[in-house]
Amino acid sequence: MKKIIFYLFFVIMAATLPYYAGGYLLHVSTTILIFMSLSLSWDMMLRTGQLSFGNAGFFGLGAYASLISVSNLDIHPVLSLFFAAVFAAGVALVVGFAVLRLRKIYFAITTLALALVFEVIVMNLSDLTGGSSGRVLPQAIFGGNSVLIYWLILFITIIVILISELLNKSKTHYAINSIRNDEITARSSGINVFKYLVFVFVFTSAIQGIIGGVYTQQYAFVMPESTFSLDFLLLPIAMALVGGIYTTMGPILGAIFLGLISEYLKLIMPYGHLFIYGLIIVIVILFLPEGIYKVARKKYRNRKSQEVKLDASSEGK
Amino acid sequence: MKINQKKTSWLFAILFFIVIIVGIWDASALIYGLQRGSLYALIALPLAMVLGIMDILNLAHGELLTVGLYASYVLFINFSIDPLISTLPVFIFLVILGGIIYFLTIKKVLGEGHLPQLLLTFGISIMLIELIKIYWTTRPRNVYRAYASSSITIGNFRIGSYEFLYVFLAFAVFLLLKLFLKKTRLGQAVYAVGQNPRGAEIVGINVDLVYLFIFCLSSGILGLTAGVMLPRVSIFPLTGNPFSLISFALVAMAGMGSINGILLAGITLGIAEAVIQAIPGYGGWSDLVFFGVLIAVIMAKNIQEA
Amino acid sequence: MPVLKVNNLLKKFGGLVAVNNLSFTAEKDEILGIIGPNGAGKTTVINVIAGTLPVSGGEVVFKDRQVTELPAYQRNQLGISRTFQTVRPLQDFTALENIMVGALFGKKLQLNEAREKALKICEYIELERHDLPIDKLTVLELKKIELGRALASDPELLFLDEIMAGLNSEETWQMIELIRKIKENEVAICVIEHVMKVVAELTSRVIVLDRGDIIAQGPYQQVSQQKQVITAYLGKEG
Ligand SMILES: Nc1ncnc2c1ncn2[C@@H]1O[C@H](COP(=O)(O)OP(=O)(O)OP(=O)(O)O)[C@@H](O)[C@H]1O
Ligand SMILES: [Mg+2]
Repeated sequence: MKKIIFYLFFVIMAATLPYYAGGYLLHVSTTILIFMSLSLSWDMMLRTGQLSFGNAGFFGLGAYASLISVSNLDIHPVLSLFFAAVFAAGVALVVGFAVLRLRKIYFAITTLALALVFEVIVMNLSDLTGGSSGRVLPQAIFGGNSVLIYWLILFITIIVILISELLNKSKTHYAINSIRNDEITARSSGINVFKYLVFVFVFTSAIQGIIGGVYTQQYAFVMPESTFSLDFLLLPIAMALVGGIYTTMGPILGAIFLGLISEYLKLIMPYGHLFIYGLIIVIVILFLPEGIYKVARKKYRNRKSQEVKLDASSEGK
Repeated sequence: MKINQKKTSWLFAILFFIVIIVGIWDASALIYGLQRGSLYALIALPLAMVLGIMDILNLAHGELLTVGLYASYVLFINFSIDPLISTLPVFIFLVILGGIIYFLTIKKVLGEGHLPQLLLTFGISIMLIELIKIYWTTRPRNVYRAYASSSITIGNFRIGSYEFLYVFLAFAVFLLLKLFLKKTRLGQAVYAVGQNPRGAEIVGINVDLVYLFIFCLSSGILGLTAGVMLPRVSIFPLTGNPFSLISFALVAMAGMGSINGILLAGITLGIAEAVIQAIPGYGGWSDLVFFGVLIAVIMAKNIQEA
Repeated sequence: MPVLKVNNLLKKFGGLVAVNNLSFTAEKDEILGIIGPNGAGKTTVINVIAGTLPVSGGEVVFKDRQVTELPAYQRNQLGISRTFQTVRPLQDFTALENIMVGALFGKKLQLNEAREKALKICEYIELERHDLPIDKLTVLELKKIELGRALASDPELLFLDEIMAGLNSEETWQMIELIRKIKENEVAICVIEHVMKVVAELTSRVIVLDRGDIIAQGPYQQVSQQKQVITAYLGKEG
């Protein structure tokens, strides 16, 4: 109950942000929400034990699918987001049937290569995609109204957060956690490993696709260099790691924390600000493998249990 | 490292087949492929060593090459040291850099599983790319050397003659490495650690030292290669990046731990690439075929029942 | 009708024949022992019957159904469960959750049903500290988790791979009692065991494997007198 009130408080705070925050903070928050969703989607795949470097690729596919469906098929921009999700999911399904038979470094490196393949294909289908110079939309979604855009992205992010929470409370949680812990045990306990991997891969790719679509509709353009940019791979990973992997709270905290830092970094170092993200990943892996959230939670719990002990001893007197 | 444990005969067969076909159709592609492929193999070898012996896939592999290229570039611009001469200082520089990276980071994730290892080296690769961006921006840079642009004419074809140096260097490095593994005590220790680290530890081999040595040597070979490459490539922060992937594909193709296989796989891939690029009008798609082949190779050799 | 029938089971690892044309059956009302020296192929037999590894030849028939080509998870859902020689608990789960996994997927229960079932099993196998994370548990408790997870899918055929290894004699007795109790529920049980006292105590029939071949079978008292069995074991020791 306490938790629900807590969440509700944050949702209301976030939803009413446009009324008390300035344009700049609104813009920063929009960006943070975008990366939050990406980070959660990456983490959800990681919960199966498979490290994917393909998320930027599906983001890019979604971006192009959304833009093309709006300009060529005249679909409403909001509807184009569904198209982006379905398209990314479709590709993930086909590709997943092959790559999800790989494990560990083989899976990771193949997803990395896949993202490059997507980019090369997009570059070369220049009639449709505009090649290396990209394409623009006549107008951003909602006529460029930044408040409406913010609400749309907030809405999507809340859904992604809910999905992540549900995933951690459902039967699927037990399946993917088992697969990550010990695949052989999972198989001998009746878990259809491949089915669950495909399922998670497809819906996380759909999330990445939809976010790619939103991003495109917000800025009204696509270009291979920026749409398939390393940012959309690197930042979500760094955020999830900093916050703490395998949780919903981790990527959320990580996205807020790094999102704010990132704005500051862009100001002081326009060139090479991604350096810090690389450094953060390295530091987290070496010194804080559990991320902030889990460490903080443990500290909190330890203190609590100590307090309980203290209470007990004082009662004894 | 399990040398020659995996059969490389199928690679021989494919290579032989391609060579015949291509040789009849376009001899220059054959030579170009041999040159290019030797370079690929030369760059893949260090990745294979680290992967085979330390069981770590180093995603910052390509970036170490980039660092080598920039180091050589700096020596040329600031001190007018010819890239070929700078191979030695750059080799030493990269050995030291490798040692630092090993002590500060890699050492701490040995045996920790693929997840922290991949993420760690991914982070390192980003750091190196971005550091280079900060100092040299993304502007491409070139080093012109007259000797590197000479060419020879065979029949109707003009072929770069400088690139034969890749072939020479590749074969030299491969031979030296094999000799080293067979003939020296350290080489034997490396071999033993690659086979069974715990067993090696028990018989008194300093496994940690072997790992350090391998990582430094790998990094050093990349420095050596960088100096030789510099006159023929235009360098920018992402120059080396694709080589991590290419190198891994070669290792996958050769079969984990096969040194000969890497050389063969490299040359096969080099020729295949030359052929694709020679098809008129499809230049842009050659990357796709290239990555397609890489993915297919990894898939074919590592699919497991799922 | 036997629950399990294997015909000419063959398993090769490269050139090594680990299981060589094995044929045997297992019945509901018996505890079958599979014994043999180290490396005889006992674990491999389980692996191919449970589907953990693919066969190289032969067939596995479970309850009159061909399961030779089925993946491991389907065999488990049909009613074949196994424990592992070296325990393989799911690290990020508590003991109870480990057992729940078997009920959730092997038996296809929903979360709350699975939790109840797992609690019942904990009681049944006398695992009290089931809320603890894995790294806080003793060997006996880990073995019980293995057993509990295998039981949670209501198997009709249960393989126990050296489940007594690492237990002291009191714990071993506890486990023997437990296995007998499980047998009463109409489960066909195959135990792999090195401790001969346990084999003698528990099994109604044994199969002796040596280098992938059956070299003897029958009641333990009989088999243990046979010359080829003694040589196989002595060969290992000497
Ligand atoms: N996955 C595998 N790959 C290659 N060889 C294997 C594999 N599993 C088992 N073997 C080999 O097959 C043979 C039989 O092994 P298995 O584990 O079945 O023996 P076991 O009877 O269970 O022995 P133990 O009493 O030591 O458990 C051994 O020679 C072993 O080395
Ligand atoms: Mg065994």
